[in-house]
Amino acid sequence: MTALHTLGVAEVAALVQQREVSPVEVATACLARLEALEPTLQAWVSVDRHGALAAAKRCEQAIQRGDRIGALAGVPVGLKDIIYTAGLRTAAGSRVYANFVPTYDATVTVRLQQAGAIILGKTVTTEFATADPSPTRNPWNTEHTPGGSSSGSAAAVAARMIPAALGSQTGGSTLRPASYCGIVGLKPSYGRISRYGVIPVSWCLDHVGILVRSVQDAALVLQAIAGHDLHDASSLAQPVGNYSLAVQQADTSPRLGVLPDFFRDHADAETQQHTAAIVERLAHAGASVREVPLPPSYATVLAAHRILMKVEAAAFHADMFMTQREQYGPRLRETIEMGLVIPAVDYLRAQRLRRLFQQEVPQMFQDVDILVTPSTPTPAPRGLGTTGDARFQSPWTHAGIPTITLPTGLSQAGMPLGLQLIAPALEEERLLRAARWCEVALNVTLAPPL
Amino acid sequence: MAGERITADIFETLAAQARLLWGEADAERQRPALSQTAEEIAVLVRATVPADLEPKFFA
Repeated sequence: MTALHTLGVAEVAALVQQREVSPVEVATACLARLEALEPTLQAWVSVDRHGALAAAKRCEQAIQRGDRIGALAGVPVGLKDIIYTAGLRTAAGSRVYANFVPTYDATVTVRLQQAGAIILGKTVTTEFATADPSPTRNPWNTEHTPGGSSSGSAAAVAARMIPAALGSQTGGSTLRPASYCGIVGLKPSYGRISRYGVIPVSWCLDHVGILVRSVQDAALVLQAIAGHDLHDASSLAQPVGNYSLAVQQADTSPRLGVLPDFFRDHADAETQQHTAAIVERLAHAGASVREVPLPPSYATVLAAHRILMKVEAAAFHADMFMTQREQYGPRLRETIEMGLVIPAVDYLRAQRLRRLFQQEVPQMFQDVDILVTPSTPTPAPRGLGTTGDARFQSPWTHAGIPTITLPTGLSQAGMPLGLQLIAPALEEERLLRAARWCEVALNVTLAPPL
Repeated sequence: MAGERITADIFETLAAQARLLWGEADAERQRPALSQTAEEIAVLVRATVPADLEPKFFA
């Protein structure tokens, strides 16, 4: 039988529901894998072995009683350490929050538990989910960054410690580490997943992200945690789609739009050639492909995004920063210092330009279903001094529209490369359908040599 | 030239605020970040924003 720690979300859920494996066996296998690799990868802040095994035992007993169980029953998951877990330390990679223990669960924590998922612990984040790198290593080559800020979530899923983890994305913090580690990363529309109980970077840009190893698994996890939340002012009231059904209906070849200008110019030669070859394979499999120009307001996107992030991060941290400035890492410290001096009128200009971009984005989808770009400008950089470049993801995070990255192959140096798919606002079903179609057409699954 | 002047003006405004908040030495340390932020604001200032376009914070 396949080693239990290598199973994906859908496989674990099906085997548990069919009583072919016990949730305790799955949790035990994942914990053993985690403990074997953690000294090398440093993906976890805290592992709740006792709590996870107790939850798995309760799940097992519920199944034995014949109780109705959730869609993720018995599926081990990790939570980025900015997500509140009642009674379990949530340090956000920060000395300021080093001893912070939340008194309540984030909405996503509650929804995962209600779906039957087994929370193994908290995964490493960069400091407050920003740019100061974490100690986590890339499972493909420990001399390389796994990306950030959801560093531990990406490394743990890629290393087969867990089948799924939650991260977050304010610029590129879910898709970038997912791509660098050779897995699937999904960031839905802004407001689709509640941010209640998630430590913020920027209220208007923050999204909860999903890190898994297949499109079907992304759909299953999204289905479990998406939906309106009265606790979150930004939460969408629009109904949640049927994401699991969407991936089962992925038999129609999509109309793909490629973005030639910015994304070609800023990718390295190997990434450009790889992406062109992947798009050609998709076209050969039946997708129609055409070039799509960027709208005029794209010229302001990266600048506006940085201004919004600096000001809102400064607003969140201001009180703590004034008394504990020396406790902050250099990059976050610089972000806050800049945010504190940016005039309010310039912040509001950035917000107005963001809205202009949001109004122009639908034009890009007039003749295509999905936009595609390389997920990142290069494979994961060597060294742990940076978490990489977010500029291929941040425009879409800025617009609040759904995106997903798929692993598409390896670079000559043996590091993963990925393809980013982008859909219009609220079109997660379209995104997942197209992503599943591409996944089948490409037939690429990457496993690091651990 | 006009763009450079705008950026320089913005930088001076930001640097003055930084000096008030943190003092001369810290503001000097922040010079590269202040310069980058000034360039980002200059991009926004040069862009045309329709007069009736209101900001939308969540969405």
